Amino acid sequence: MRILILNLGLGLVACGSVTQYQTAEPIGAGRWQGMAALGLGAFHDTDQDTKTPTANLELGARYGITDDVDVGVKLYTLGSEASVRVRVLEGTWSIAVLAAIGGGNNDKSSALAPASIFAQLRAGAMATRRTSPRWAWNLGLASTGSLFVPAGGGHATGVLLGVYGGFAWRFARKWQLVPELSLHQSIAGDVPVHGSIVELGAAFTRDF
Amino acid sequence: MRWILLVVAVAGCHLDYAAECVNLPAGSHAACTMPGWVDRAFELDVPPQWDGRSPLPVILVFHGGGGNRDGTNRTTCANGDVGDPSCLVAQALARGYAVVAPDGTGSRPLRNIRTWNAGGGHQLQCVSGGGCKSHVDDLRYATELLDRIGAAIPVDARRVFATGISNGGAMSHRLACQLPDRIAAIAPVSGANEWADDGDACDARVPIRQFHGTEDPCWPFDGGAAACLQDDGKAKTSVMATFAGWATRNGCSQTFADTPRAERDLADGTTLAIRAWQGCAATTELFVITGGGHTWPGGWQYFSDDTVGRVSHEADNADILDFFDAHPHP
Repeated sequence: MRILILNLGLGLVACGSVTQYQTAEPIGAGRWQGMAALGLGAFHDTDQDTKTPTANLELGARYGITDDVDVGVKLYTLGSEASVRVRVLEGTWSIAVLAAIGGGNNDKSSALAPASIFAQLRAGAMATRRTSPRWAWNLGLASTGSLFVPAGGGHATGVLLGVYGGFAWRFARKWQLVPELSLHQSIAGDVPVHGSIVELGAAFTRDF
Repeated sequence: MRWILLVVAVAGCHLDYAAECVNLPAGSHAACTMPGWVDRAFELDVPPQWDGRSPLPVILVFHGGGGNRDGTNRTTCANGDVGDPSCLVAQALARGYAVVAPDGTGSRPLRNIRTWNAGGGHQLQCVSGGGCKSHVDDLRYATELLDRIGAAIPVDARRVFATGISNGGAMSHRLACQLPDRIAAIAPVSGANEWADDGDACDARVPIRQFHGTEDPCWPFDGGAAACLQDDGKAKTSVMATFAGWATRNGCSQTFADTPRAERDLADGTTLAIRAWQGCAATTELFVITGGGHTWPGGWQYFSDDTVGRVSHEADNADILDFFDAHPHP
């Protein structure tokens, strides 16, 4: 248990980010948005029968290419990710697809993580129902493929399927709060785990 | 506004990769891959005074549960100082041994918290979690490890030994049980024979000298469910149950004699008695460290003594190496 507690804050070693903190509504052509988020969660490896609590801090920025397409980059505890969001339907429900590529490099072994590189590809779809200018509700699906290449030789892979949901509350003219609950289950391989990941977090976004 | 070039920061990829070690020279300190295994490299230290031709005796040193090869030697060093001549690797190299520190199976997602599948999981505790729970074939790993070492250096097949702490000590027991033709003797520290005592096959005769503290909170001398890393509610085997098994297999009577050792450190809170079984075909000895904890003799106080118990200075690495020196395969 002591070791698990020590892991808090360092837990997402050799793992990508599984969070979205976005609606299906791109931010608009020529606009910028900044984001800061904190998530708490747990990995459960059913094969090894281990449960690992985690914390993940994320900082990001998005830029609107068109009214229906924006791109973003985010830094998280030990990696980074670039993404593109494309709105494919606008109406009572807005629907967007999202693709992301990310990874990280841990060039020195620690007590928790060996020297390694990891990479991640994620694709998903999200739906947003806006109920007022201030409130919107989000649901999404995501598929994540991960690659782990340790300095100790060999490599491992994994595929996760996930669902997430939350809301976006515009509490000030330029500010939004975006809480999110996500649940991911491995369907192949063991990166980052052979099992499940649950994470609850919240992001603050600011329009520029 | 211009398009933004999105660069995924998998930057600075200058990992110090392990290599496929072949024909290493004297004085090498190498990290070597295990082909066919993911992230199960081993470190190999070759004595500097080696002539480059003679077969070398080899000591396998298994890290404890939750550890990794980076910390294996440190555990054996006074004050955790790997530059200290008291360390097992330094002393073993001085005596002409090659020393191998392999990596166990990484936890997920924290992959440098590693364990060995050293037994348990039936009636007894599955020490120390991941490797045992997921049924990693660490016998195959160890077999292939010995083969890989043989590709890196010429190995004196009569003098291959195993030691390790806790889960790594238990791994030494398992290899003695399953590879008695390749392991000449073992010197486990703070880890008993979970493999055999939980009913898995062990029909071996192997000299053993074990070190175990009577106040070990992680692997209690008398067995039980206490644990420092993992607690599944099941009990670990007791040290004396383990030695009842080795006494039988090693052809001893079930009687033993305790010989106290004169105290070397009056301040360490420990005393030592060497418990030797009688009439054995293979030496069977237990260093009973009264007051000692879950620590390497003469080694590093890696957590506070409230957590893992005391380090004893009544025994040290010379006791391990003297035993190996005296017990090559017949």
